[in-house]
Amino acid sequence: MLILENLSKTYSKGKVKAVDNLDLQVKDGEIFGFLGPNGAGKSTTIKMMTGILQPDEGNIILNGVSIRKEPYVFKHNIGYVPDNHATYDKLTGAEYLNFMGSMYDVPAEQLAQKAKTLAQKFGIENALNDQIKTYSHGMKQKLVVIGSLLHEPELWVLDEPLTGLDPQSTYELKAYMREHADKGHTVFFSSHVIDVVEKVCDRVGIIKNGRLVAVGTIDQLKSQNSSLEEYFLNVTNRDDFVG
Amino acid sequence: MKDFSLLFSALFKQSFRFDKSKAKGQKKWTIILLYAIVAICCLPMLAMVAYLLYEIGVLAVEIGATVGFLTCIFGISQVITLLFGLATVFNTIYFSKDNEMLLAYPIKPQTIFAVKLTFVYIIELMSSFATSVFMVVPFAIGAQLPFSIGLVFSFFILPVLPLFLATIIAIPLTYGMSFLKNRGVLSSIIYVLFATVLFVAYFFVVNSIGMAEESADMAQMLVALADQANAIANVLLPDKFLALSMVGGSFGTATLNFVYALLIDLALFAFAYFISSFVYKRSVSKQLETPKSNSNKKQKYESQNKVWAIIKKDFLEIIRYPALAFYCLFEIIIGPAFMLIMGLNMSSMFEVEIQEVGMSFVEIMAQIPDLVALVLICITCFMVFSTNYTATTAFTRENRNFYLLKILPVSYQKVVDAKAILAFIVNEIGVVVMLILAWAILHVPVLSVVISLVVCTVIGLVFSYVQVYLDMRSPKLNWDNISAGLKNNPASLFSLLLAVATLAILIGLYVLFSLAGISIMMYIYFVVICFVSLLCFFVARNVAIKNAQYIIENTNI
Repeated sequence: MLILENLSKTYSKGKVKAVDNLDLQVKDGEIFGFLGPNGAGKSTTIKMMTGILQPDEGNIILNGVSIRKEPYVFKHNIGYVPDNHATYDKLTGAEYLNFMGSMYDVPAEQLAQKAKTLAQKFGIENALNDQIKTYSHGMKQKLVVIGSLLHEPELWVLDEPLTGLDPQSTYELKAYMREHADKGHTVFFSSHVIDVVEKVCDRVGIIKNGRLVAVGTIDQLKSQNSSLEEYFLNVTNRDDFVG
Repeated sequence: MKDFSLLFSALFKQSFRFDKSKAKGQKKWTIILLYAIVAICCLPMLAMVAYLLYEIGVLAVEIGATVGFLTCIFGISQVITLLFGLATVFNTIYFSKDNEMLLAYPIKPQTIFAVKLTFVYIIELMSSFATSVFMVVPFAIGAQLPFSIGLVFSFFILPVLPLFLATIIAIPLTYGMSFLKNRGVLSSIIYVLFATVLFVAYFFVVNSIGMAEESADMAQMLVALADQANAIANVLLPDKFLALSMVGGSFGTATLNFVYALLIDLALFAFAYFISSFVYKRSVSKQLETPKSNSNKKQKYESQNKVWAIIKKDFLEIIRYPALAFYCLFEIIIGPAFMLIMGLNMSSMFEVEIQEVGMSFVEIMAQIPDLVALVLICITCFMVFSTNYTATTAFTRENRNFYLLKILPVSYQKVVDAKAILAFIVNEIGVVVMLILAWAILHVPVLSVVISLVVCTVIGLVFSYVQVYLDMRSPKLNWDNISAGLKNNPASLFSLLLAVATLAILIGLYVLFSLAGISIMMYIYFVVICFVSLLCFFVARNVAIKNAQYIIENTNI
């Protein structure tokens, strides 16, 4: 289980509250959708969950491991797909996967088997000998996705993962998210595409001005409005809304 | 014209707009302080150059070669502008990140080229102004030029000739670079070898000239210099007319000469524009191609030790990025190249007996192996260690991938060790190759080579960790080309100061030990140096590792 406890982060020496006292629990085997308008604090929350940013207050606990107390063990259990697809683009795809496998202590056999299966699934097996700089936007995204899965992470964090993917890969990624959750792992997924969130996620959280304003299953959130999109717009447009 | 002004304004703001967000805090003051120290160190040298040119101005009048000398000084100032300008032409015109975006706009490629060319001209104008202040102005004062007012106008037309040359030279070089693009290691090797050849050739020529001048007597040398200056002036026509416009005659003649210079420069500018704008789109398009290898080689998967995996990743990133490879591997070539140049220039002197001491140069070196070793260590510190970009870009070259260091489950201690080990290996290759050449070409005694190798290895460890730590403290992230990453990099500036300080300590201690007058003391000196260096290494590593977590976690792109 993933637990975010009173998580807070401020920028500009405390003048801007990016995340404000965020409390959240995500269960094992769940795909959790994280929604919010631009600048709401989604990326800051994700960056704190992955160790890129240090929270000012609060803690993050994954299956009993605290990011503050055991950062390396915590990170070992996370797979992260960033929204900017930044990778070492002078490496070839295969070299990048070897590097990621080594960093996460993936045994050579598991690495080879996982890399081959996933590369085939996402249709980039023929490009793995090319340097990443020659990849298209979507191919880079696929490679980063594969790299984040080599060690079978307990928590898979994806920040806007569908941007730039072709329909076939979008379908494969969505299917794999479900497959990963069905193995008992947690998938934490941020997106602006509400239709996808509605179809893929078990539960959704909506963040606004750094505060979590709504959490629930799709059905729970939709019950007050006809669609998740309407609910989202309603929540994010009202200043006084408390979910 | 509207497109031109719009584009020029955008490009100007993009490059020169003051970034208030970056102008705050301690880092700004560190950089200002560093620049101030470098400026203070350089000022006596620049003052010396200015004084020398003042004296040349006086001399030029005496031997009647004012026009020739002034033309040559214009030429030298233009060569400096050209050296910097060539890189600006590449970075601004042919390899700029905005090319892809601009070519998609409904603007003629010629207009884009014209904007960029004008932009380069403005940058060269600044460089030309700086060189003129220290070179042309002192000469003008020394020679008491009647029409010194022409200098003000000369600042504006002096950059035209280097700009013309840079744009013309850039065309074949751009095609060459396009050919080497995506050839990874091969292109890196070719760039580094090309730089080595240029470096060796340049210093060989400079040294040869120096030696030739020393052999002639003063009167002959002055006549020869005046002849050479006049001969050069006859080739550099626009510069000659510019010089004539300041040297003498009536105001009308001076004006006419200035107009000639202006017209020739304008014609060259137009020619450069015509030729280069013609090939601009094609060469830029070629740069933007991203061919695939279509390699069917079977992928090999292997899980490695984390430190080794980071070293391998870093090494591949360096060697496959030609510009980065050039910077990082430069230290491997600069030391050996220096030895090669010394060897080539002094080859005839080694075995010849020096009458005053009754020994040959090789025999003298055999008598003072400790001093020879010290000289070798000092050369290594200054030429190899201070230019160790593998260490000073350790974190900077992570660029936008810096976040990966934070999310990976690898301790920051291992990251620091991996970065420092790679830097140390590169250092060591440079040192070993240089010492082998010193032994083989300069006939340096084996004992000096062995002492130098041991001491340099230990000092190299200290430098590697200190430089990695410095870069970790303030890495330059989020850059588009490595030149931008290296610009204002405090780690590089500090390295230079560190090398100077090390040299001062090494020489100071040597003098102290030699005061004892016992030969064994000199070997104790090297033992002490090794011991102190080892101590510094442990301290540097400890400080780097201890602070790594706090520094890396608080560094954001």
